[in-house]
Formats: sequence, structure tokens, C-alpha cells
Amino acid sequence: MRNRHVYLLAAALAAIGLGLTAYKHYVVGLPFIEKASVSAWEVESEVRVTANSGPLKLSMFAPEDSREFSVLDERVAAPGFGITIAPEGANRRLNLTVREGSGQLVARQRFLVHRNEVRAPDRRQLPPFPQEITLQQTAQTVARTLYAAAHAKSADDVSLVTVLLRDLISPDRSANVRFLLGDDRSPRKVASLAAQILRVNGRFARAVHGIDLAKTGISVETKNWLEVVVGDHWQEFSVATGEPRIPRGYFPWWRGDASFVKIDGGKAERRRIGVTRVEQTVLRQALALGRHQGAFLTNYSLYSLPATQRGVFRVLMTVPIGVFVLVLLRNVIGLRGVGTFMPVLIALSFRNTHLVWGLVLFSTALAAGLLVRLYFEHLKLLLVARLGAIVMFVILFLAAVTVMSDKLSFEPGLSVALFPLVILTMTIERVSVIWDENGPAEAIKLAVFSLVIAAFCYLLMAAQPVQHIFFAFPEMILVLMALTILVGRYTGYRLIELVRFKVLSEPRP
Amino acid sequence: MMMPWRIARQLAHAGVLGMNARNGDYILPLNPRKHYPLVDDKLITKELAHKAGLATPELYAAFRYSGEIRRARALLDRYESFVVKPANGSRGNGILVIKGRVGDSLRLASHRLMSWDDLRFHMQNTLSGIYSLGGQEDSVLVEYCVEFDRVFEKITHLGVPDIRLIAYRGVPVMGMVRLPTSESDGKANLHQGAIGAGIDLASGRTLTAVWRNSVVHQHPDTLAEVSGIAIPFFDRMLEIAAGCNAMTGLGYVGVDLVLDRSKGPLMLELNARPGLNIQIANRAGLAARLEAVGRADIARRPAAERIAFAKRHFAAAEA
Repeated sequence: MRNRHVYLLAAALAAIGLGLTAYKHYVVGLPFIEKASVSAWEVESEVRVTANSGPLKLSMFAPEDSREFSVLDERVAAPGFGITIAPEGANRRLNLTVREGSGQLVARQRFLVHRNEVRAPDRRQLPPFPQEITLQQTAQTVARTLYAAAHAKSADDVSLVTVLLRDLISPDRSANVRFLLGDDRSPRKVASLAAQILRVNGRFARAVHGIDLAKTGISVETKNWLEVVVGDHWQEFSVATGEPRIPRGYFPWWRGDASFVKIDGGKAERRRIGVTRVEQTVLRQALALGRHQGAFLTNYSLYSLPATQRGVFRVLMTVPIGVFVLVLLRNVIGLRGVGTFMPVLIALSFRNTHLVWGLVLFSTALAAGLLVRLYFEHLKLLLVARLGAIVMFVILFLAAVTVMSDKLSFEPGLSVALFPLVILTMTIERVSVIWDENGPAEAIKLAVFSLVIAAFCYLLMAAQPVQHIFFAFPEMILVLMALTILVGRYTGYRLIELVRFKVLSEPRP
Repeated sequence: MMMPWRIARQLAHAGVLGMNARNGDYILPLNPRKHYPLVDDKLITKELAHKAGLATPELYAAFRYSGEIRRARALLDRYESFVVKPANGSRGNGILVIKGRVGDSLRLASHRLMSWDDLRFHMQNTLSGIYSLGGQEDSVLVEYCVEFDRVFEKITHLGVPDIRLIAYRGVPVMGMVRLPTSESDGKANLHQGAIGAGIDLASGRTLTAVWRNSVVHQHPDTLAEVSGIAIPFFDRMLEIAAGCNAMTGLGYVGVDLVLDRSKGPLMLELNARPGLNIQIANRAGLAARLEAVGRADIARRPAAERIAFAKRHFAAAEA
């Protein structure tokens, strides 16, 4: 009776899990296997500001998805500032505010840019009419003359803009051009002016500011181009050649004539944009899903979370597989480590430190902790006090290791985060309790075995296909749950019992 | 190399009980968690046994708070020998056997000497939970030191041999004698290196023994034959075991007894999760016996009938 209930429950869970998975795969089109890595760029913009005393308002532009690129994992680091993001015309404004700013302040913006596999639908909207025109009355007249000249020399809208741009950038400039452009012949100025000229003549146009992702470095320059409505869509024009196309790596950041930073209550010191190329495997599905916005399951999937939480859940969703491995080890194979699910937690903490370094760090800290324990034993300290002292020692030890690896600029040590530290001290506590209860041999055996299981769980949980399956199809956890429930009613022999009781399977002598 | 599933089939055929089946089919349904404290805390077990009229080693003193430990010497100095135990201890950890005095010091069964200060420190540690399951607060009990019966003298090294009986729904189903060895450091726990000799429930005689998962015929220290020894008062032991299920409300329980030279069988402690090595000691499977008891449905019959059932059905095959 009880067993039938268990089987029914397991079958129901598995059916729901597999059903949802099948639906998401076959109907929504989520792939089971993530394709190989795709390239992405990490862009960091840094603004240094010297604040007057008093309130400081700092505003800059935040990029948006374009047809060619998606912006992901956007993060703003500006300690002490209030951060808001609001749309402003064709752009998104990032507003950083602080009541009492003083001295030099740094605001960093960081995001990942990913090239869309398939061009996304164009979400650029037509600007409201009338458009903002900043040219003086005289200049407007000149602008109309230039436009008329270009119009006469061209056949259609595209060639019109090309001709106009070529007129503006040609070395032998007309007096009209010189009047409007002055001595500033920077692409930025050209783009801005071309947009104005087109606007004066009733066309939708705007200057675009962006970066060239093809040029990576810790400090890259901004690029400018022109966007004009041709027919029913926005067309990009290079201000260097006038051609209706821009290099593949040009990534639009903000549009219009406004400068990047706007500061109230302070003075900009320096601004820098850095671009690095990174390999990304994670993003593709998030992007694929963007095209299925209508479907309930994808709207409420983990992909809809902000990037940082996505990262957390990508890890968290693999915990059940580690837990399941431990359940199998314990109930089907018959092996155990320190604590019930401690190896899974250790495996999680390896994520911060990476496997080899994590193993080294864990073993050293564990050995150090146990040595101290051995010493404390001579002092005949009471149990809880002794454990407390060991935990304190371990924290000091880890602090020392981290500081030392920082001094030697030895990267991995720095990644010892809070979580691994807590897990490590807990493990040492457990191991020393086992040492007390069952002796050193048992304690060391269990500790080593736990690390082996943890390493195995780590390899499993860090495997990209595994992470992908559980992140894209969280309902697979229901299937695991069904299996776990079945194991919970498995009353057959454990594997090691076959060895242990082998003598009973043989006929009596 | 035999295939694993073939071994599994043979084990199932021999009625061997596995850990999962023990937990899932017997302990979970028959031993309600809320009754565990009755057996996990030896002080409570002692009290229960006292009420049920079962003999246990006499309790000399119990310490629940560290403040009481100052009085340890005042309370215990009058006894030449005594045993100090954690009330919630497991696997025989934290047990001290004091055999006598040398000057101002205590002499342990292991021939070591210990000062009263050392003993008090040991008690403090015990109270703080060093030996208890899960490390929770514990108490210390001090009781009569068993003078074990001479029948086991030749097959014991240090320590006290004890008798483990498994009682299922009021029927003793299997038993073994656990004999300390030099390797087990005087402790009667199999996984610490003690040997376990199966018992023929019908005759009360020992069978072959298991030591570290293998079958032995002689005690590794004394080299004396372990099988064929008749255990005195074995019927009384079966009676005690048969009463333990009703006493604790646990349907599947391990009963640990000692045989005292002058006081006869004494119940030491109970175990809600008795180990499975007893099957190797008896070279017989528990599952087959448990199923036989289940089929007979005699849990509500008088104790004498249940014991007769055990003797009839669970006699050793070779006897």
C-alpha cells in the first residue's frame, strides 16, 4: 500500500517533469545541448568625478539591445550612490545620486555584449515630431542649401544621405560646410551636424555614439555614426565614408547630441571605456528565449531573472544532482562521507576557488585545523570551546593564505569567498567531532573520501551540459525527486553489503 | 569473481537483512522516533527497566550539570570499582571502567592510572556532549562494575563480554556474544575489533564467531575455542529480551546484556538501530526469521509462548 503510494507519487512527479521538459524542447524550442561557446565582449566604463561638497548627481547612458547585439549582465558599481535607470528619448539614462559627495568618486558600469546569432527585430522607434533643432536661424538656411545640393546630386534617400555626408567630410569643403562645421571636423561633430541638417529638412536623423568592439583594450575611443529613417526603418551611415553601412563591430551606446556624462555638483576627471573579449556559453539560451516572449513558461523561466540572479540559480539548480549522487552513494552503494550533504556544499565552494586550488586549500586548511586540534587536546579544553578555538584558527589561516596569495599576486587565493570559508570551518568541526568519536583513522578516511566525493560532485555540477539542462529545464528536478523518492523505498542490498555479507551467501563449510 | 547480482540473489535466498531493508521495513515502521530517547538515554532505559522489573547494574550516581561534578569523589569514593558512562553514548565510547585504587589514583581496567581530576575532566567533557550522538548535552552515569561470569574468562581479553539479542515484536530472533579483544581495547563493539559469536537460541550455546567480517573459531588473543560454550541463564536472557519491545514501544530492538558472577543476567542498554553483523556471527539471515515472526503473528501471546516459538524456529542449522 505504502509502496503503491510511493510509486504513484514518483510516477506523477516524473511525468510532470518530463512533460514540461518535452514541451519546452519541442514546442518552445529550447535545445537540450548548449552549442559551443560564442564570443562576447565585456565592456567597462569608468567615470572619475571630483565632487564639490553637497549633493552630487551623476548621469550617464546605459546601452540597450540592438539588432546586432544584446546587452547582458549589466552591473553598476558606485559605492554609496543611489542608482536608478530611466528611459530618456531614444536612450536609457543611468542616474547616480548621492546626498553628500566629497573627494574623488568612481562610478563603474559593466556589461556583456553579445552578438546576436540572428538579427533581432528592430525596436528603434521613430522620434516624436517636431524634432529638436539646435541650429541658429542663419545656420538653418545654410543647412537647407546644403540639403538641396545633395538632393539634386542624388537619386534616392540613401544616396542623398551619402552625398550629404561626403560633402561634409570632403577635404575641399565648401564655404557653407565650413560655416556650419567650423574647425571641428571630428566624426562626432560631423554626425551631429548631418543629423541636424537632415532634421531641418524634415527627415528623421540622429547621431549615434558607440564603440568598436573589434578594438579591445583598457581604454578605447568612442565611435560615431549617423542613423536616418529611410523608408520605414532606421539606416546606419558611416560618417567616415558616407556609405550606408558601418563596421560589424560598431556597438551603439547612446543617441543624440548629449555628452556621455552629465554632472551636477562636481567635475568630471576622467572617463575611460575598456573592452575585453570573453568566451561565453551561457548566454545563447537567454537570447533564444527572448524571441518567445509570449509563452508563459519562458516568461516565467529562470532566464527572465536579472543576470546576477541567473548566475546564482545556474549554480543552485545543479545542487539536486549532487544531492542525488550522495543519496545513491549512501543508500545504493553504501558509502558515506562527513555529514549528510557536506560534500555537495564543499563542491559548491570549489566553484569559487576552482577544483585543484580548492582541493589544495581545503586539504591544507583541514590538516592545519586538525593539527591545532591535536595540540588543543593536550590542553584538555572542553569540547565546544575547543571547536570554537579551532574555527577561529581556521579563519585566521585562510586570511593569511589570502593575504599571502595577494602579495605574491597569486590569483586563485583571492577567490576564497565567504561561503567556502563557512563550509570549510564546518567541515573541520565535523571532522574533529568524528576524530573524537571514532578516532583519527576514521576521521581522515572520511575526510579524504568526502573530498573525493566533493571533487566528483564538482565536476558533475560544473559541467556545462548539466548546468544547462537544469537551468533551462528546472522541472528536471522533479524527475530527480521522483528517483530520490524511489531510492527512499529501495530496500535491496547496498553494494558494499554484497562484500560484507558475502560469507553468508556461501554454503556452510 | 562472482557477479554482484548473483551474490545479491544468494543473500536474498539466505534471508540476509540489508541496511536499507532494516531501516525501511523494520526500523521506520516499527520504531517511532519519539521513543528513541527511551533507549538513547541510558538513565531513562535504566528507570524503565527498573519499573518493568528487569535487573540492571546498580546506579551509583548520575551527573547532569557540571556543578555536580565537584561532588564526584564524595559520592564515589566508597566504591572500590565502578563504571562511568555517558548516558547518550554510542558504540561504547567514553566509558571508563575503574577497578580499584593505587594510593590517591584510580586504577582503570586497562591498567592505566587516573587521578580524580582526570576523572572529573572526563565527566565534564561527557556533559558537554563529546560522546553523545550529534554532540548534544549529555549526562554521566556511574554504575556497578560487572564482574563477568567465569564462563567467558578464556575467550575475553580485558573488558566485559556482553550478549546482544535482537527482539522483534516480543520474540527474540537472534543473538550473539560479543567478546572484547586486545584490538578492541576491551570494548565489546564489533566494528572496534571485538569478535562476535552467534548463539543457538534453542540450546544457548555459542556458534562460530565473526571477527572483522570474517569467520573465526578461536579468540585471537587467547586462542581458546569460542564455539560450543553453554551460556548460563540463557533462558532468563531470552525473557528479558522478549519483554523489551513492550517496555519501550519499539518493535525492533537490540538488547545488550551482561552476565554477572553473582547477580546473573543484567540488562545494560537497548539499541533502536541494532547492527547487522549479528547475521555473520550466526551465519544466518535475519530477514527470514523476522518474516517467520511476522507470519506467526504471536506478538500478543504470552512471553513463554513467544520464547518457545523462538527456540523452536531459530535453532542453529548445524545444532
